[in-house]
Amino acid sequence: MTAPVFAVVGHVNRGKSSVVSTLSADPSVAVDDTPGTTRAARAYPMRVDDEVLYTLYDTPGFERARHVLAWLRERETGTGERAALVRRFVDEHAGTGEFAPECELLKPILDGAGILYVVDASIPATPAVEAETEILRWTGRPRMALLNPIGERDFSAQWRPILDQYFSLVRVFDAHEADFARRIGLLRSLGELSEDWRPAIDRAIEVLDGDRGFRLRESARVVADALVDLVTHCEEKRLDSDAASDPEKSGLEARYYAQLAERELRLRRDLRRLHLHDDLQVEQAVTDAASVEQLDEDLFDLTTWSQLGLSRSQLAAAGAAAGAVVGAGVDVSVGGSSLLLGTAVGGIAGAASALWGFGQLAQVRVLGLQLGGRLLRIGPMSNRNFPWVILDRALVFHAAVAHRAHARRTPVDLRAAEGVVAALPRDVRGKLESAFEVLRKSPGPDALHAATASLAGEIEAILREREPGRSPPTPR
Amino acid sequence: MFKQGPVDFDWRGLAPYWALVSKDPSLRAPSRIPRVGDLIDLEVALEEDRERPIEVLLARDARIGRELAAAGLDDRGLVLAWVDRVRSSPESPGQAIEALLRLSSLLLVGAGLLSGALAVAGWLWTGARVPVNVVQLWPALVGLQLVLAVFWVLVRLAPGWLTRSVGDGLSTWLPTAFGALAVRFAPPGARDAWNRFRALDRVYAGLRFWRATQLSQAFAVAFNVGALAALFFIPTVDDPAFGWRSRLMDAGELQRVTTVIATPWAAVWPDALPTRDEILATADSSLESAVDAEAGAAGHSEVWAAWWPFLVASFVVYGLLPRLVLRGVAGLRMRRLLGGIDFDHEGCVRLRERLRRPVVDGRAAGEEVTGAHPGSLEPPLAPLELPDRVQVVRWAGVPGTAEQLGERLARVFGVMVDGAETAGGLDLDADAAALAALRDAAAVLVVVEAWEAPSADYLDFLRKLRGGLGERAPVIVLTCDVGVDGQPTDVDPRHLALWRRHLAALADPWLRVEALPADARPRGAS
Repeated sequence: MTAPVFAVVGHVNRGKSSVVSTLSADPSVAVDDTPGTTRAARAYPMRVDDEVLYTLYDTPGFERARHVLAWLRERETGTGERAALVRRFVDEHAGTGEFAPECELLKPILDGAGILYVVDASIPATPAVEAETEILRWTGRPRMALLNPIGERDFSAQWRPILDQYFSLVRVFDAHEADFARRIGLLRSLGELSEDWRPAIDRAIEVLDGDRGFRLRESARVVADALVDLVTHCEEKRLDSDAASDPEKSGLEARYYAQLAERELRLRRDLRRLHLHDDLQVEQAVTDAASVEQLDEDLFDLTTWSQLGLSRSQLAAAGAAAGAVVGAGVDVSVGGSSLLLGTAVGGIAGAASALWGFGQLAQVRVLGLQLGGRLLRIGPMSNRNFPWVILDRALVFHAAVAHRAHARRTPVDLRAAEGVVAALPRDVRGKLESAFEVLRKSPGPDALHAATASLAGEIEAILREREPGRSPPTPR
Repeated sequence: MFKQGPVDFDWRGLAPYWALVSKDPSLRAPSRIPRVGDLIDLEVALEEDRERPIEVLLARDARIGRELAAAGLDDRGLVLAWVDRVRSSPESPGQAIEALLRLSSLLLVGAGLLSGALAVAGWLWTGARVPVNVVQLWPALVGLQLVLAVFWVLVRLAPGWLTRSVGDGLSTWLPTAFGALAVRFAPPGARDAWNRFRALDRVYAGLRFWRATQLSQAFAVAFNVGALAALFFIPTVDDPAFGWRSRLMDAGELQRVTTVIATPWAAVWPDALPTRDEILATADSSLESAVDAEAGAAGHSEVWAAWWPFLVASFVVYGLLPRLVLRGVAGLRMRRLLGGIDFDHEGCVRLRERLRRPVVDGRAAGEEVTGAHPGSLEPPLAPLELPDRVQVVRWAGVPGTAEQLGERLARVFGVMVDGAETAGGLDLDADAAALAALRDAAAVLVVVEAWEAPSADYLDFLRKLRGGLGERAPVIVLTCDVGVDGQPTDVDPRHLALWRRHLAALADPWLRVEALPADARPRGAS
């Protein structure tokens, strides 16, 4: 299977690096409106484990195409030698500093790369295009033109007839708006350039589809995990006195909201990283913590977890009973081999420790059980809308990052984003609410696992449903 | 002629076949049986992973997955190999729990030996002066063990809600209590790990019960061994006497009971059953005359010899053997449970997916070589006054004819166009001609497409132009734009700024960049 190579070429400032950034899902590619940002050809191999399925080359733009073409025409002896003449041009000028961008961009083409010629469809065509496309035609390599509309205007109609003369394929690809489906569509078109390249491109598409499925599934899982953490989250503080002071309450409250906000930030960070947007900035109307705080005003539960109002003798009896129960367990488990020594020793130890600690209830533990004190607890959030708000925000954020082209460098703007959950089908909402209901009841490990898995499954279905050019869920 | 000596076989030739085998899931090498410590470390690692950034997990597990790919591991083997890789240290929580369990087992064996020996010794020492009442000793040291062992078997095996509930209770809180007690002496990390492990009963159901059973039965086996050791040792240094006294049984009934008890060993050790005469001889009333108060039981070997074999056989058959069986059953059950764990809970499913997924990466490997244009950081050039008469260079691609352009320039800037040249086309001779025509011009307007990036081609031309003009002759680069309908439009300020930044690289004090507005406002009009 031949691993094709594609050189992304064009005039300076036509969005070549943007195309490469989006196709390779690499947000680290330097994208700038300053001409000449890309100084050297750079390879972006699409690797699957240790196998390279295809390679993209980001190249510097043509800067002196007219002069290159003039050089070539001056030395042209016959149509069949044009590619050799282009090679001669590169050989003579490489390393001299003259025509450096042209040498850089032509090298991979002369080494066998297919050509992906990028033009900006939002500006008019200029005569420079003719020189560039002519040079590319001379190389004799398979080539495709991409209309990449960088601005708002659309000169595609003007470009089409020009490009159709030189390129076997012409496609529109907005590098800043292309989602995953469009990226795959462009790859498919690249496979049409040569029969030899199609198997590798088809395999790449298959692998990328699988990888996309994994990232959606993992996204659903991290959202489900975050929902579980957020909905069940509590903050506790042991109190020395019977009543909680205002500073104690406000301190615990601040800690609670900070933890919620931190957890939601971690969810967003995970979603960003899952979709390879490492340093994405986000703009939104209100801070997360503030918006969460609006949901529930009465989160406090001053809980007495063990206030034993017992006399000294009652306490001793209770301690002895607790100790004896544990000791008896030991006796039973050894089949009576211990001759009830466990019961006796446990009872004595329990009674002794209880008596010793009488009057110091808050500090005393009998077999791990603290005998006195009060607990100030905040959470879990009782507002029934809370998980829905979190889920909605997670889905909106996911849509913003999962469908975002990697060439875009502007912050994600969530200020005008519309919610998702209100438009979900009734049965889906019902299943989600069932899972939330389980979470609200402080479930045991089994129920928690089941609810988490159920949430992950439902969320994955939602994410796939909202995927452009969606595919059915992967069987698990 | 046959070659002598060892066969020269190249094992490397088998590599393709092994590769074939390792890719077939049904032919993968069987994985080892996990230990409890592995399970604890697995759960600890999965729990810790919940706090790790997702990209760290993906990268780490992709690396481990690649390293393990060649081993052809099945699902369980893959998870166990992963645990081995990510285990924090040899002192991981799971390893610590394992060590604690081994220590507990040793301590329980020691305690069992000691308590068994002391329990029997306590009874027999009194027998040196007063005969030991076998009717009390046997139920206390042997009978109770038997009853509880039978009870244990019933609650584990017998159907019915009552026994099940008792069994469930035992299997839940008993090991929990054991574990809680044990881990109180463990370091905090191991304690947390144990608590997490407890929370996973759904996954590892029964493991804690059988591990606790292993420990308790180790104690019980040691107890019986200690008891038997005491039974063998004490008669060598003392002369305990055995007898019996009961208000419920007479000698005949006792003989029937002992005969039933001795049934298991009657065929192999018939002497380990007191005869009727021996029972009658060791009855409490008879002992008073048989045992000399001053000489004790010494010299009355027939008195203890009548019961000693019976007691030894009882400890072996009703104490030691059942406990050995229970210990063995617990060991087998543990092994079976551990061997049956297929790691199919959510955390492991996710883990395996991370380990086995193909790692797709389209990013560049090395650092990108970039560089802003040399003049990109320079401030924009200040406006420059135009003279009344100018020469014009129309760059190829600028819309409209030279006449139209001249009219626009006159309207907008109030300048007279003395001559218009064309440059920037495919014909380089036209550039040269334009430069020649502009030599010694008083001022030049170079009209360019604002949307075009100021490439090196423009800079070359402007350098050559300046070379021909000499210093002080103003050169104005005039950017223009058109709409989709072909009509002139205002220049995008971003384009103008870009041109200004870039042409600043020429460091030409007589060079300016301006925009040609779409409308024809006269110079100076608002």
